[in-house]
Amino acid sequence: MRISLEWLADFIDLDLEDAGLPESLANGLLLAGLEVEALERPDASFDGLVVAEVLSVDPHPNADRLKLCRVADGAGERSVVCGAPNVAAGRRVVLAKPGVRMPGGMKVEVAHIRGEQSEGMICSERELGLGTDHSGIMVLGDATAIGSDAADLLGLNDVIFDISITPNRADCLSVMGVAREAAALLGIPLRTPEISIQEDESVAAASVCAVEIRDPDKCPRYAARIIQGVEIGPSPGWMARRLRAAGMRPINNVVDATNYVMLSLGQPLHAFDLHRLAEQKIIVRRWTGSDGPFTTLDGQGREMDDEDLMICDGEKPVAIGGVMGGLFSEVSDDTRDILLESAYFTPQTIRRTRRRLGMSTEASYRFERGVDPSGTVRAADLAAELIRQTAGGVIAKGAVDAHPAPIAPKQVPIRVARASSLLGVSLGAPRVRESLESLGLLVSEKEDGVFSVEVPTFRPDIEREVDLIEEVGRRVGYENIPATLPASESPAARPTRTRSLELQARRIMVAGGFSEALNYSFVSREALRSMGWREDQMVALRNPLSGEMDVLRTTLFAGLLANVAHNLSRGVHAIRLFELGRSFHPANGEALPDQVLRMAGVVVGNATAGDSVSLPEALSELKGVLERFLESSGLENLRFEPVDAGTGWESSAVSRILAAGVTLGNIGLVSPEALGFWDIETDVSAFEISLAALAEIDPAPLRLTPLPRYPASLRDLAVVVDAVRTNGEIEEIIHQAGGDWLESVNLFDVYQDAALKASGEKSLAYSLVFRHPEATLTDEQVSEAFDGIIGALGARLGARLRS
Amino acid sequence: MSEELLVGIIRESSGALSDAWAARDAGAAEGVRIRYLGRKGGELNEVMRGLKDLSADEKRIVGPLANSVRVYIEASVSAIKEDDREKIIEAHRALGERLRGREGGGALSEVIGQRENEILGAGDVADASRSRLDLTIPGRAPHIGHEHPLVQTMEDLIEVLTRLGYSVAEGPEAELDYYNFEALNIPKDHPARDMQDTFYLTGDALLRTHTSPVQIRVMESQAPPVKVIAPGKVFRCDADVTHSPMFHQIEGLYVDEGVTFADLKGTLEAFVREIFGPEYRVRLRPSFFPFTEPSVEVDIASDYVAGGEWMEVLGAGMVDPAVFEAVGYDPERWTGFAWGLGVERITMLRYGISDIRLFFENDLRMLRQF
Repeated sequence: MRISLEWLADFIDLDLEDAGLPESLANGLLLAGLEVEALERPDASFDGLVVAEVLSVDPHPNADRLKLCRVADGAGERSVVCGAPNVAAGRRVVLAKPGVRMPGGMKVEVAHIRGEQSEGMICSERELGLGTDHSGIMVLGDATAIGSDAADLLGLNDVIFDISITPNRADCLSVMGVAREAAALLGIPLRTPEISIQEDESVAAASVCAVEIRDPDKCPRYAARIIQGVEIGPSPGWMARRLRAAGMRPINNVVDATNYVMLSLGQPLHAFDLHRLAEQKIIVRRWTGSDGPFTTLDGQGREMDDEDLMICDGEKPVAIGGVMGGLFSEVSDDTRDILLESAYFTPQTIRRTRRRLGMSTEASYRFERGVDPSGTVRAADLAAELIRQTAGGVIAKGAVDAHPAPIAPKQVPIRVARASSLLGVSLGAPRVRESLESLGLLVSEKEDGVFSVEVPTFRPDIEREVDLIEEVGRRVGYENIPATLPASESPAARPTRTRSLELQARRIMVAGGFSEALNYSFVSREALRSMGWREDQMVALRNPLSGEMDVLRTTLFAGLLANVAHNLSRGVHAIRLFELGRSFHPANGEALPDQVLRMAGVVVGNATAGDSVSLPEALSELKGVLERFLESSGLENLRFEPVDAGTGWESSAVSRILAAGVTLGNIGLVSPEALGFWDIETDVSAFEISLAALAEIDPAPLRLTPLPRYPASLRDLAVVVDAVRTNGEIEEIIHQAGGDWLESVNLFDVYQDAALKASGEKSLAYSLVFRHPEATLTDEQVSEAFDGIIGALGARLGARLRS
Repeated sequence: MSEELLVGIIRESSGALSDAWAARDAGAAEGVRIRYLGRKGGELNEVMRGLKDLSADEKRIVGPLANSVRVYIEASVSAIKEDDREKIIEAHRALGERLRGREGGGALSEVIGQRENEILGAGDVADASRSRLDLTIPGRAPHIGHEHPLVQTMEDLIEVLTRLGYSVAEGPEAELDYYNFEALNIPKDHPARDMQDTFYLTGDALLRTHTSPVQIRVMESQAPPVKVIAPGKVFRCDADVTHSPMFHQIEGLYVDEGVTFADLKGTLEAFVREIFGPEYRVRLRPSFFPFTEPSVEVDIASDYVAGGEWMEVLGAGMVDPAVFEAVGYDPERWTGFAWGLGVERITMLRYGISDIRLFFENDLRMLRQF
């Protein structure tokens, strides 16, 4: 909301000469909750801008299009060169004397133009920053006093406050509303404008038109005024200027008067061409199917529904109530008679319709926040009188005020003690009373320590005691409320298992060389499709910002692969990233999708091993860090089982990760289709696990294993097996066959030479550690266990010792 | 018996080798070689020859150790002859390592360690022309990843708040309209819904626009008093340099008997000074949120930052009685306050980041800086 300081001064006494006023007022409003986002001052210096009279106009001796003017500026006479076609003797004009700095920065100086001296400049509207007209100089009324200060006359020194109004403060969507706050702030009275309306006693409005409200729930009040015999034309300069200052474009004297009153008092108005209204009648009712689509004054056809409130004449809709007028009934250049609407519509109605239509107008913006139902007639009176003054015509006697559902002021009690205890500052009854009264609320004592407050209808936001307490707090000033710390003894609860896991995962991934990524929770459907996800496995957004983010992610890979592509395209090749976040999955019969906390990691790098049997470096690094995390979280019996396929995985290179019989996720290589989607031309090793599933597994309790007191016996075992066998299978058999004293098994070599390759075999070498807790193992004991292992491997896998 | 012999050999030979190194005396080194490894009467050779008389167990212990000592002496002698500092150090390290793994080898490995130090020190004394160790050469950093800057800020905030007694609570990102709006006193036709452009999944399910629904879920699940924070992702249909369709918030909620607006003010001041620094001033000004009454915006300023300009960092207020009614708390008995802040905004202020989109590109050149 753009508020002019000079306009504010219509409602409160302000010392406009005080240079510090704009800042102090802006700061005061800010601390009262009206956030002044910008303070606009003219970027010009108008000292020396005066009203002058053109005395004579002669042709310029050296230029056809220029004229030599003699002007009187109140203090004396001077010569000015002017090129405007409309400069003429006897006209009152705006003269910029040398020294004036014009909007835009141009400084007026004594100049010699084609050999003639010019002691100033006669200004156009555009040059003064008043508008766009540059076809000629600005001509003032003949009665304007010569020599008077033109900047004051034209309001050029005005300051504009650009104020952000919170949705609860509908009352501040007008100059009067902001003035009311300022008055409370400055401790001065608010002057509500007295409207002396000149009516034509011979014609009663009620005899010209009729108003019928058929839906008082949606429209509790509708007032109409009739003005006959107007002449449509431009608005006077002062009105046009104030409209522009508020950010509105002047249109004509009738429309401008309605907008002016809306800005001034907060009541939106609409002017109909009376003769375009069938039967000169207003019926307020809901839209019905037989009405058909409606064309608003912007020329748009609108589909309506039967919850929409329409303003109709005797036959058909002529406006969408509270939102926008119709094209057909709009005031045009040859309109003579006017019906002026000033109504109160219920906020919910307006909000519903304007949302459905996807539009917002100055009127709907105010109606949906709540205008003052008591202010309709006053606004209609002011607008009618302004129209009479600027467009002529006569005002028919009286307003037709249909008021089937009066809205009474609310009575809200407030306890002084409650105000003190909620705000945390001791307040006496007088302080509470003063605070509320300064805002225009009517306070009466109900019982000791309790006030009954009558809330005027311009404050629909105040409904409960707590709302009044906020008003008291605002008036006391939050800077005057002490700062205390609550006395609380409760210590914070321990983090949940899920959060602990998350913190632990982050620590270990970072220590392992991985950097943390954060990606949007939504991704493109196409990205998920490239990984093999089906439509029915996705959760779609109804109103995505773009096709790049139209479904919720089912996996963290979509984001991480996009990050890989981004980094590769910027020349970063050493990429190790991980992410912690949720994935989303349709949940049958549930209102909300399943939301699963996961961790995923990626490493970019060649995933072809030197031979075909050992683990590629990138994958080995990734798996190592993951294993370290899983082990640190107290998991036992971690297993990696080959699976044939999965969404986004290379089918020959993916395993399922299992712990305690629960599937945690997968690890392997990203599929060529998924890589292709992001134009990634290198291998990406990846894992994704569910921390939610992990959190379900109880960690093994941590207990110290006594340090060994007897020496260990070490044996190396190198076996040759069929190349399809896995380390997992072999280790499992070693553990099963190794007996009680087999302490640990460590794979230290996998290899395949030409001969092994030819026979379809590979070799794996392990170092085995045997130890008895209570004694030194004898060679025989170890050999027995060792032989048992060899036997089992031979029997179960056809393994033989490497010679 | 032969094990003791070996221990003696290690002690004496290492001393002699250290001296030989200090003097860069190839002749003395050769003397050491002949004494222990000489074909005739070399002491170590004697030990090895005696192995065949030992039991299998002893053999397994003494054999490899004797071999290690042989390797050590040979390498050291040739290192002294070649004046190869690295080689002799390596020989000591290898033996030290070997001894450390052995039962009772601790003391011996220390002897070797001492010798190693002597040799390291001797370099400078013996040859002053050798250059000093160049410690300006950059060290070899271990490969460590980086936490996301937003997560760092968030965890810092959580840490401070946990110390103030707040427990961490979480809620779903895909949320019901009821929790995101209705229960927070934002009915369907309320203009406040326009303050937050919402992503909808269905008519009833949406992506939460703030972390405030967690307040409701927590209060529904427990009786007062309540003291929680809810960090997490939130979503709004908006994207430009300062707006991201997804961003992070931390919400705080404190409900107890007798909690006042003054308590809110004190808590926010303490929190701001803890996070930003003690030199910060805090300003509360009236604002509007449907779920708090009174509501405030919180601005902070420091003489040292942005010319002392006020910066908006938080929204807060006293919990609206309508919210208490929605969760079945008696608003006459319980009062409380809630606040929420944007993690991106604070991180941007903290690190001088001007484009919010940088946070979600995950460019490693950016992440590595944190």
